[in-house]
Amino acid sequence: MNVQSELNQIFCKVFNDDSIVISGNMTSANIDGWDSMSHINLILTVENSFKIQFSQKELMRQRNISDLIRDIEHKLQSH
Amino acid sequence: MFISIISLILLFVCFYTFPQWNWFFLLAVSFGFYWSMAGTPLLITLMLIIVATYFLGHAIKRHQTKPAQKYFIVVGIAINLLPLLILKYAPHFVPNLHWGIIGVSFFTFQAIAYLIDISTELAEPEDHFGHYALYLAFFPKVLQGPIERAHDLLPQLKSTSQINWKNCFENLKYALFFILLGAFKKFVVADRITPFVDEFYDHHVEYMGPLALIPLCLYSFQIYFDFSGYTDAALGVARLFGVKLTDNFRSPYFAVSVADFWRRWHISLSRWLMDYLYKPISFSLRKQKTFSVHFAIFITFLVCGLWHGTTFNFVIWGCLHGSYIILAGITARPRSILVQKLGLKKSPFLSGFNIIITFLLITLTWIFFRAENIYTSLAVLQNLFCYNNTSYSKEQFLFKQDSYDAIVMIVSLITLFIFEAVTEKEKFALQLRRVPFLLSWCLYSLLLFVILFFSVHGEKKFIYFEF
Repeated sequence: MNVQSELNQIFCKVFNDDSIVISGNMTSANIDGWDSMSHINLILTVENSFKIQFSQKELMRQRNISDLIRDIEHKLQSH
Repeated sequence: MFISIISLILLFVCFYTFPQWNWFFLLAVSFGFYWSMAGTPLLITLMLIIVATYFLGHAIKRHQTKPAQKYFIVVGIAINLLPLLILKYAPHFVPNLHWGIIGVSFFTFQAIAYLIDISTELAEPEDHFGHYALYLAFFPKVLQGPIERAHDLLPQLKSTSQINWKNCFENLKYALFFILLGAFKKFVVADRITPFVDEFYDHHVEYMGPLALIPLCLYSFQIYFDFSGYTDAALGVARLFGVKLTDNFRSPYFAVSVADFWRRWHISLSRWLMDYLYKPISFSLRKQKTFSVHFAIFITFLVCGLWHGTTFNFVIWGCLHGSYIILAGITARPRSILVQKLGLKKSPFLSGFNIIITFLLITLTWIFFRAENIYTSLAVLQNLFCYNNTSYSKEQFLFKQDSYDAIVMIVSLITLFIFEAVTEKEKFALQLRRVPFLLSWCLYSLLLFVILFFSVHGEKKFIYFEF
């Protein structure tokens, strides 16, 4: 399973909605319930699932799903 | 006023005639405008912050991967916060010290955002000193915001050198609509509400029971139309020069929750607080899960309160907003289950109910914002819930003022309410561009006539100038 599809499953689980289909340019405005509060839960779930740890700078820079995927892939490659 | 309009027209003509010097014209007028509104000491403060943060921005970039970068960021933040804290808190410690801080909290927050964005590689340091100075001092937004980001505003300021007369009429059409809308909100609506609210707070002991809700709700409208009126005018003036500023308001009183309210109210400040305070705190404490979110929300709104004022009233105002959002987060799940069980998930009645409740909750917080001190705030709150028949029936509150004022106020409020309910001003302005020339100018003339005929005369003061 690639990063995007695994991340899609995480989104479905965190936002309790199986119909979510993520794409690169999606932001919090495109997903119901994705606000500043649920974002922390999302980041924690992503970190636990992929067994990675984002830096503060990376988290501050992420603006959309493609930024998130880029950082996950970068972390997995450097493992 | 007359000199300001003449200067603006002169600047406008120079701007479109010699576009290669636009940054210089705008900067000279921006400094002149700020000096005339805030005085020499604050202009010097602005200039010092421009020089310091210009060089610090480059230093932060040069030390991108080095530990020294942290020191430059800390120094940069301290340089910005120091004058802000001194100007805000010194009057509390030094008797008879009265000075304004007009605009300082806006340009210092913008400078801090610039430095942090460079450190996180969201922005590049600006090489052209004049463009950078203009980014902080640009006159339509230097007094009351919006708090602009470097990556939004700097490219627009740079591209003003490519502007030509072809853009002029399009910009003028858009700009006039926003300037007139802003003037209507401020001079016809907000200023007309002022005496009703002042009367209430000056004699608050006389107003008891649910009747007190009327002036409290009126203050909600006064502060909104005062601040959004200024913002609309700022957006319009900036547009005269081809610059599109961030709109600070998106029908905030149609919000369905307090969190939603903050996505619609003073948007540039909410985004700033979200990006540079809430996110760093919640990210760094994320292992603590829910606690990190609640703690970050509370600190963010506490700072939001202190940004607005240094008295205990503003602390309570900020804490109330933070507490509302935390409580909404805690009760989100049971509320969602209840709504599903009642089959109200997409019901317009639920949305309407949420809008009213949110408006009332926000209105209660404005008591702490408007009242002189904590004792007055608590007395107003206490009176609101103490219904007293005898002291209440003699007052016909709305008509204690001139009934003409009350009628103009109610009609204007209803007009703006309908306007906000049916359209967004940005979309309306875009549609106006397609309207034939003559018709659009007829509309502007009508709006100008309404403003001149119905505006309140006397000293003009914007509420947010104090922050």
